[in-house]
Amino acid sequence: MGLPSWIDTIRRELIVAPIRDDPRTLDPYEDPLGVPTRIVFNDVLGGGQAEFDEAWHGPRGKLSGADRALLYGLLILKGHLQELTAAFDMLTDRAEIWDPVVLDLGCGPGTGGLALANALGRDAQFTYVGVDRAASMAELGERLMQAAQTLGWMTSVERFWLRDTGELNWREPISWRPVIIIASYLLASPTVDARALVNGAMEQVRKIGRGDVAVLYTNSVRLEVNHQLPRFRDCLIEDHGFELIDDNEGRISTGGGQNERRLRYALFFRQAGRTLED
Amino acid sequence: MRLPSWTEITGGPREVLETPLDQSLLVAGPPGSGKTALAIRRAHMVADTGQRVLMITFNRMLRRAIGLLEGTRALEVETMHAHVGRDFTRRTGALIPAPPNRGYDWIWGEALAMLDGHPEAGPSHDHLIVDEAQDLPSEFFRYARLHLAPVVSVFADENQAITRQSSTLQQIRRAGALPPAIMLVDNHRNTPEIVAVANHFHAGRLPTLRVRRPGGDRPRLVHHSDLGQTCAMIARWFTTTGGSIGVVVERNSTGWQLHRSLRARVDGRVDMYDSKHPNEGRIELFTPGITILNHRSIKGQEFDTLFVLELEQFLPCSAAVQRQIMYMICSRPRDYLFMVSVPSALSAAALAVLPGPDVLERV
Ligand SMILES: C[S@@+](CC[C@H](N)C(=O)[O-])C[C@H]1O[C@@H](n2cnc3c(N)ncnc32)[C@H](O)[C@@H]1O
Repeated sequence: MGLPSWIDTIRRELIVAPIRDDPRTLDPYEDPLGVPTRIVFNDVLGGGQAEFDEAWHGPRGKLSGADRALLYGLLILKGHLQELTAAFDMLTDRAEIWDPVVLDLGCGPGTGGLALANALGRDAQFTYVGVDRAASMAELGERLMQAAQTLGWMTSVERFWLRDTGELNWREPISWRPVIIIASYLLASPTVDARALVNGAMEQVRKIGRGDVAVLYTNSVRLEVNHQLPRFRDCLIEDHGFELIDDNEGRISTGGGQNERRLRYALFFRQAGRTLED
Repeated sequence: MRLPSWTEITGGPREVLETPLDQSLLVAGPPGSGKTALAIRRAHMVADTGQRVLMITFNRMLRRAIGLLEGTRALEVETMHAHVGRDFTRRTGALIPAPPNRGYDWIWGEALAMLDGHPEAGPSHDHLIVDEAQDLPSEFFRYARLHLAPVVSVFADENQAITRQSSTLQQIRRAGALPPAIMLVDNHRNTPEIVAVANHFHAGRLPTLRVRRPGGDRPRLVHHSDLGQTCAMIARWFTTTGGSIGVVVERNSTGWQLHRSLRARVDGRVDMYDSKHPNEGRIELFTPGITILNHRSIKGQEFDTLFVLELEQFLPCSAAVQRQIMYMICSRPRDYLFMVSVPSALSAAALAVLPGPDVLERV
């Protein structure tokens, strides 16, 4: 399965086209913004875990934070979007998740919000909270979502972009709204501590309410990037009363024929009201 | 990658229906979340396996409503006081201990201790189902577990408690040795406008109602200088709008006066429920018409339209229990809610605790 067409459209318009049209680029897939792809992937993007707000000084010139976010969008984003749209399609299959609050941890350019919007439908109402320490990522995410709106998608989605979950200033009274927490390719980052991450997110969940909470973890299958998953899992289960629904390796098809991606994923769930009594 | 769908993992109604019939259960949910309907379904499922199932309700009107809802299946439905009073006497040959002149305020500790001397009579049923459990004293759940049935399914809303003897979810859970509560979180009964009024009186730790219906009319506060005007308004409403209409009055004298004048004006069913002369067995709650009742007996009921009179009994909500009563009353009507001050206008203090005109229109 490729990308949903509306997501593909905004990605082309806001990421692929600007890179292609940039004077530094000769061929967008050989040397985007003037840097050979292999170097982009390893050094500019650090495999996805770079300091995306800092300028990057390479042999052939300087890249701004915004440039680095764009390159992330070109080389890495698509696969993550495919995984998360597949995951949310399954999760919302013939089910209604009504007016959820989404906490997308290490959100990059709003990857989880775009994927969930696709699964919930054009007019779906939800609150999206994208948390990322890189402002360049959030800025790109906001532009993608604005473009989505001009296509008639995400028009009923309230958006917040934060550097840290602690910045969330939740003003609604506590409610039964379901919460969906996404941690997609975040836990490989050396700057993240799994327990602190979970505790920080759950502190906000307590302010939001007492509704159902689901946590979706995705990452590559490489062993070393998942080394924090056991701590992440234990903290959710032992300290916050979650149950493990699934923790597995899997694959998704990414288009015709044999094309597929492998990934590591886990899903956790806590029933509404469960914090009250246990 | 294979993930279950949200409906497969979330609890609520599905989890209630899927809990094995030989397991005890605690279900908590706000008004209008479908607790009573689920309680009846569970009772039927248990009865279909040939087990002895007993449904316990808080008041006689709810017992009547359940009797009507479940139709010809002839479930055994009883109020807690009627059933336990008789059960205790059957087991011990004595009356359940109560302080002089405090008929229903039983001395549970003493009663439970007396039963220790009569271990021979085992449980009377296989499965007990309790609705509106928050209004029952927590000791009842201990009594139920030890003497009435090995399996107990309990449906409750701790924000709706209206009696001094009421129990919190934790107390019920502890006394009945029940598993953690399954929450039902969505209100399917009331319009958002009615929910806004109910939520104004919401107190407690649980979030307010999450409403799932499209918008309707804004509830209203009306003033009448005499009961005749109120009667005319209700009669007119019945003629033009119809459906089921509830009228909440606290004084039986007011209730009977209304009953008389409505009977004279209305071509249709007009009933008054008076707990002193229980007549609920004759009230056809679910046929269109007007039912006059007090706050205790409206518990667990729903109507298309509700008129609430004698508000000064609950306002200005100086006690927490009055807030809870207002919350419970305001969440009864599906479509229309009228609060009526008659014959004297509400005091400034009472008006001050009502929601503003943007939520409760003044006319
Ligand atoms: C590989 S990207 C994943 C982005 C997005 N979740 C996706 O799947 O497309 C990792 C993101 O985590 C962010 N990040 C890394 N450490 C973080 C931290 N401690 N707090 C918040 N965000 C962090 C990075 O800025 C980067 O945008």
